[in-house]
Amino acid sequence: MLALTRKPGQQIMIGDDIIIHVVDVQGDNVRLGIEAPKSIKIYRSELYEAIVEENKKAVASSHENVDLTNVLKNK
Amino acid sequence: MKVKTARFGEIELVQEDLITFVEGIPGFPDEHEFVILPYSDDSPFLYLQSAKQDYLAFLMANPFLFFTDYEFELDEIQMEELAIRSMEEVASYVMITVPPHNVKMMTANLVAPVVINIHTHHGKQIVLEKSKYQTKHLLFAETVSAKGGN
Repeated sequence: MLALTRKPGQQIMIGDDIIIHVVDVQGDNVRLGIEAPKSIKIYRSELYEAIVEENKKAVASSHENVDLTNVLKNK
Repeated sequence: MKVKTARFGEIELVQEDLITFVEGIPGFPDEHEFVILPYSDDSPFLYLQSAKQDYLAFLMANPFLFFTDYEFELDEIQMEELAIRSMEEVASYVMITVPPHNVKMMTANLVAPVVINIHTHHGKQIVLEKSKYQTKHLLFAETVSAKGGN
C-alpha cells in the first residue's frame, strides 16, 4: 500500500480525474474532500462492509424454515 | 429454462423472468442473474433467488408496508444504470434477515434497498450513503422487548 504524508490544503490525485483534498485535521478526525466523476461510487468502507455482512446473514437466514404467513397474522 | 432452488426445488422459468444485476450484489459480485419468487400469493414477502446457485436466495419484503415513512432517492447515475425513465417502472424491496429461531426479531436492511426496473428487468442493491437508515430495522417494533420465543 502506498502511504503519503499530506498537510491540510494539500491534495492527492488518483489517475486523471480523481482528486482527494485534505480539508482539515482535528485530533483523530481527518476531513477529506473528494472530486471524482459521478460514475465513481464513493462509500465509507464500514457502511459497505456492513451491507456485505448483512447480505451474507440474509442468505444464511433465508434457509430458516419460518412461517411468514403466521408472523403477519400474529403481528 | 430450469432453475434449482433450495426452497422450492427445481422450477421452470422463461428467460424473461430473469433480473440482471450487472454489478452483482455486495458480497456476491459474481452473481448477476436472479428471479423473484413470491413467498405465497398476496404475501408482502418474496425471494430473490439466484438463477445459478440454488442455495443463494434473499428473503425480501415490500418496505412501505412495514415502514410507512420509508423513503429514499435515486441519483442520476443510479437511474441511468437501471434505465429508469419513470417511477412507474420501479419496484423497491428490502432484504430481510431472520435471527436463528426468532422470526419475530426479523430485521430489514433499509440502508441498502433492492431496486428493480420492472420493464427492463435490471436490478441493483443501492447503498444509501447519506441516509439515516441502517442494515437492521426491526419489522415488528412492538416485539422489541419480547426476548426469545418464536
